Amino acid sequence: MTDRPIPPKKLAKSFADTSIAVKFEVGTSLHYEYLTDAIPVPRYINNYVRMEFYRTCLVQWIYLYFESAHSFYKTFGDAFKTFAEGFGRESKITTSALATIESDGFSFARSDEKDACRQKLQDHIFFLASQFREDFTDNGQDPTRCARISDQIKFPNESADRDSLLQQVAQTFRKEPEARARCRIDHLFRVGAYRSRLEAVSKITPAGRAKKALVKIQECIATAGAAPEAITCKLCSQMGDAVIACTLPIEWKLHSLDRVHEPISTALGLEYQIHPSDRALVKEAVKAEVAEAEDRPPTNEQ
Amino acid sequence: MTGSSLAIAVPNEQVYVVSEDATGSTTNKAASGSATKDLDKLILADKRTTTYRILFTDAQLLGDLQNVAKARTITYVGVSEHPWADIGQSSIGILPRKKIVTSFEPHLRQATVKKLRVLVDEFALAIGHPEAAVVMNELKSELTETYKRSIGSPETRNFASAISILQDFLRPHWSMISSDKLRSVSERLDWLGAQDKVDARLLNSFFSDIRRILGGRMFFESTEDLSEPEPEED
Repeated sequence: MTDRPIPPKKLAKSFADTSIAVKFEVGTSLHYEYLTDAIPVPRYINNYVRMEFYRTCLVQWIYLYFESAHSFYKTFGDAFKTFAEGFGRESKITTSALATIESDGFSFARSDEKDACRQKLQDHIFFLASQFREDFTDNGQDPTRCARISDQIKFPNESADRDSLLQQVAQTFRKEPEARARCRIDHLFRVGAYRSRLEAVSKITPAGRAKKALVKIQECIATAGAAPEAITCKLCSQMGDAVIACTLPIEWKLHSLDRVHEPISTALGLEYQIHPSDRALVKEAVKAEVAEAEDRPPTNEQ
Repeated sequence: MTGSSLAIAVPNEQVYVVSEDATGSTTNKAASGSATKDLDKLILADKRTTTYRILFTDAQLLGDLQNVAKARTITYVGVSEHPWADIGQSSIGILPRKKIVTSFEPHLRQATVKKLRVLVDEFALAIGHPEAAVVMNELKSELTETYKRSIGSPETRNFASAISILQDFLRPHWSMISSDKLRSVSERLDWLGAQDKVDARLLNSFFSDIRRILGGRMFFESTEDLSEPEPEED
């Protein structure tokens, strides 16, 4: 009889939530490097996370692309500033990444370079969508069947068709009632397995740093549970973290930056990892630098 | 020769207008020497008027073009002291735009790729030497100027996107890029220049190749102030 080697424990597959996907694609270099090392490949997302990524980033850029076409914006900078005024914090950060265009030598202040800036933004939209597809694999499991992103942003054969493709993506995204009529978010509140997981989230006692976020999610679950047919895209987005966690099969490991996933994943028995924010990484790097400087023996010059 | 213009009509097909550049600029270089070989190559797009001009600045070239007209059984129309005087607007309006621009894209692409390749190779040699920053800036400017030149026409729009890929992936690497990687970029540039046309499939392939060579992701300037206190989670 020979000893058979004990097979190593199978690692849970990595599932990235929207916070990870956004930082991975447009976050700081420091954060990108950290996440690349910390989350094993292949990294998976699902249709719902893709929708949230598009909503946070690409759809905003598409809106800006078409908004900036108006002749009353003399320069691209005018359109950019006016548009950014209406944004919340997260989108503002994403849009600020467009400062890259300016650093390449395209002027936001010159009317004759407005079109060049818009075209560069258009390229960023298409290439970021390509990069997102390369970075994350769709696990094909989205019980909500979210229908807001029905068109993939891919280069059309004729460059002249790019605008109409982007227009179609934006229109589909904006038509919430139509998308809602095609999705199945209400089933989560009717089908036993998902309903019981959502109930488990509702029963968590809010505490700690994620208390405020968890209370908000629980309120939304209560509203949605009372009338599933009346769930709107807005309500769905407010409980998006719970939707992602409750629809993730148990064999996956959830990676996130949001601390709210700590109590949610624990309640659901889901393996999870909360990664540090970029600010926390900077703090750690500074601390390590200081410690190293203190340990270093003094030189003659000192 | 100042102010002269020449119109050559090709029977049943197209009208080309030849005139001296109003600014007297450097266009004779492009035309000189190739005038008797291939008339099509002399056509330059004029975005402002949607007409096409062959520009020249010397009498020798005018003579060459007259010979071209004879040799190719092209009807020679005339020389005028006033540019465009011999050609009515209706004639200019029927220029076969598509045919001319289609042949223009590969020409622009191949010429640009050649130029970029020289700069990339120069940059590879300059790394570690005092002139590295100067060559790098020249390459960056060339990429930006090429992009601006290429976005104007649907035929060259995909080529502009290919240039955008280089901008987005080279940007964060300037200070640490290796000569090996630059050599691989040069090879992909050659490949890009050798293609019949830049379509969606080719663009995606170029994107994946450049990403594989240079690593990482498209670089976006972050404007987040990491020194600020962490906001409360929502």
